[in-house]
Amino acid sequence: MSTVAAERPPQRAGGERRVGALAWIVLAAAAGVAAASAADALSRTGHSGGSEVFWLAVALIVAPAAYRLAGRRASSAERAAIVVVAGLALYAVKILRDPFGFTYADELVHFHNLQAILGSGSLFGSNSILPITPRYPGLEAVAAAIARAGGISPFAAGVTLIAVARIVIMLALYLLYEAVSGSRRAAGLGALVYTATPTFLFFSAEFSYESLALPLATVAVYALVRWRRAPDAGTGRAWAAVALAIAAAVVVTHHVTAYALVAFLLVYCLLHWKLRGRRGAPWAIAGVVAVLAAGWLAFAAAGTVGYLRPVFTGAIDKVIQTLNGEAATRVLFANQGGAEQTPLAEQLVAVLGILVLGLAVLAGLRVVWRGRRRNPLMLLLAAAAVAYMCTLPLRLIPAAWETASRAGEFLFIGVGLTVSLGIVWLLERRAVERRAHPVLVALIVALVFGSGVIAGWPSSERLAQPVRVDAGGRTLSSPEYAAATWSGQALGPSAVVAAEDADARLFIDYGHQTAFTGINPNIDLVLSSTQTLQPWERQLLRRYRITLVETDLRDVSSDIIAGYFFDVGKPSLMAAASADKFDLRDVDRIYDSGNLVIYGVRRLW
Amino acid sequence: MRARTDLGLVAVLALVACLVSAQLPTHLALVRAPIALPLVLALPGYAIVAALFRPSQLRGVEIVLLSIALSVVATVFAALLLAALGVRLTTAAWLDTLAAVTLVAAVRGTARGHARTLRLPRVRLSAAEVLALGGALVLLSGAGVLGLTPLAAPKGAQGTTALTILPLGEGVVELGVISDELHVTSYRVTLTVAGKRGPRFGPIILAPGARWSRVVSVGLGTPLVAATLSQAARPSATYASVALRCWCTGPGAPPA
Repeated sequence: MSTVAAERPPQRAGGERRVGALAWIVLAAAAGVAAASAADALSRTGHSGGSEVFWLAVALIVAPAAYRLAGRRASSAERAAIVVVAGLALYAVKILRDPFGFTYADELVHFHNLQAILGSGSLFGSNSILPITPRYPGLEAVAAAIARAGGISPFAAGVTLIAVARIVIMLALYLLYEAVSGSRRAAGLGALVYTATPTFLFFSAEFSYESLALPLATVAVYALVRWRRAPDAGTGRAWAAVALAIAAAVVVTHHVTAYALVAFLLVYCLLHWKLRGRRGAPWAIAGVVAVLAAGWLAFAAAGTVGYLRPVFTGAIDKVIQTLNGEAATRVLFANQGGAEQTPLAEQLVAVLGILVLGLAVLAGLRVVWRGRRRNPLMLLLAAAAVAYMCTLPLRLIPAAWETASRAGEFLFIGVGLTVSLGIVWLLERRAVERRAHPVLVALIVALVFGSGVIAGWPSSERLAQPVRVDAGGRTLSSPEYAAATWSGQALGPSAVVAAEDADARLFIDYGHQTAFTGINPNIDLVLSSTQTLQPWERQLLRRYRITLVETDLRDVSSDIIAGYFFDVGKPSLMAAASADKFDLRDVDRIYDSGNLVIYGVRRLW
Repeated sequence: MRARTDLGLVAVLALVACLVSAQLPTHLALVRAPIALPLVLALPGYAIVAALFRPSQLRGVEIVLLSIALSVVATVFAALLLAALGVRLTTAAWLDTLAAVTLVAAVRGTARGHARTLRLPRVRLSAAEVLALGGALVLLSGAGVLGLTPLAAPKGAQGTTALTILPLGEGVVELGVISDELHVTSYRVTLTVAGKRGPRFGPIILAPGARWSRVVSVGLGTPLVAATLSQAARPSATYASVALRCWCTGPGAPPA
């Protein structure tokens, strides 16, 4: 295994800094971004070929970066810059998919919180769709500060903040991997491999609290590593202060990331105790972070337990049911509705990528076991890599799929390092011609990245959909946006709406109204039941003071990934009786755009 | 704190950011954002790093990372502090707090001897590298322009038209048509008052994105006002229908 000292590139010549191949990597990444924009344009105008151009785009971003990082010649600063360029270019792919506004389910929820802070000037507002989110205001607080300072729109502020979060996580991973492995090459490759997390390209790039909390948590872990190696007490205290401050910010930003950080610190302390003795482990830091997380849970965000419990218990129950043969397994490569849509070639790439990833993890584990198994942090990260591979079968179980997918974002931090150690070990073997190595590495990283993209997001949702279109020189928004905007303008923010999952998110953001959806309260059943209006439904409307019911016959309106765009072709519709039951003597029918109707139901209370 | 040190520059930039945010209106965001945003995303963190560490203790990459991360952290805590004190999160409150954090940390860093003399980084780029970066800029600009341009709808995209009705007060309603069809469309609106056919409107010719509205007096105590929308090309097919049956929604509506 090479070390920092062994990888000594020429950094300065005559006091001037050379940028190495960075300019060419930037050019390739920019070409990739331009290709992604072209792919999206093809998709939203209904032309074919977008998917092929999309794959070209990500290959232009990932492969040249991997090639350069696999070589020996780049300096540490150049490697750090390359992983940042790759991270930002991949974020641009996501932004170009939705350049007009947020269209991801969680983004729309957090966007409401951001607008509420900007409107009211205070934190801890309310959110009728995900009530727990305003109790963790870190993300929205920073985005609001950006919007206020720069005089830019809330959407632009959110995009800016997540771009900054991307810079943070790429730099933090690079420095963490470098500190743990002692290898610049492993560090750069590891940070790039991390982008192959199935959720990295789209889900983790959304304007959501985890997208900020995880990068900050990674910096906290890096600060901990530097605290351990501080040359004197003063420097150690400074690094401890940095770790604690950042961990405290994580606590007020995202629940699961905070608990994952606490778990990470405690396991690290125990491993350290076991391998190197009790002294030197960050017990005090782990303890303080645990107390902060518990304190925030108890005094500021008590609803977190009720929010998270069904997710985990549901996953555990489904795993048991599936193992007992009582529940069906999930269709792999399916969209939210469970329909398999991914082309066969992509499915093969995904499976091949997972196999290659598994082999690279095994190679990395060999390196760890042979020379680094006394290093508690290295051991912990390697264990995370193994845990990630163990979560892959959970993707076959419907209720456990989301838990496994979300856990992957954390566990892949271990995969990034372990795989890069395996790759660097392979690079240093003499069995294969040396010159071929970087090319091979670029292909491997691109394959693993592609596999992650295919596994992480439905193929039909990767490219831009028509959400705003040009018609006769005017810009039109999709019908659900039009309904929410009209409702807000005509009926004001005091209206309380019951709507399908996708539509409700638009009512809170573009109508600036309170909207209920989902199963708590059970709006799903109210809107899907074809029976005449039942007494319990009237009770529900009264209890939540719902003044408007929006019925949307299109099946896509309950799809929180796909339900925000223009229909292309005749949409699939649900039973008309579920909407018609509101055509009652005591109900006003105030908005009708065909499949989408808004009823005034206050008299039903 | 001398201006020719890094911390002196940070202090000056923080004050300028405060001033710019206070003075420049939001429609000048292209000028305002690059000057003001560092006060949220970089300057507090840089000053805190300087207060905590000697310059020789950190590498450049570490300084960049910690400056950003600690700025974000400082912004989060500033918001929590202001909220706890009951201060409204206005632009001035936020930026003044962040500027104060930056100045205090910069002074502390300077007092500890952690300020560095300003030097411009000397980066040597070959002509080919300059061309590559220029090409990248062109490609990124093109990608952005293409991405932000609304394009024609795909073949088969479904436009929609909405018919709306709202009570404006006793005996008065407002009818509206919002045409989000992809081409110019002609409509007819038929009103029914208490079961009897009322006035008809049309042809109403609307371009994509255009709206039509009409205030109609229907008489006091009217129990039912209904309207239907049809496209002039297919007058027999009702496209949308609305009805006010109890007038219990909307501004000015009587309480239930």
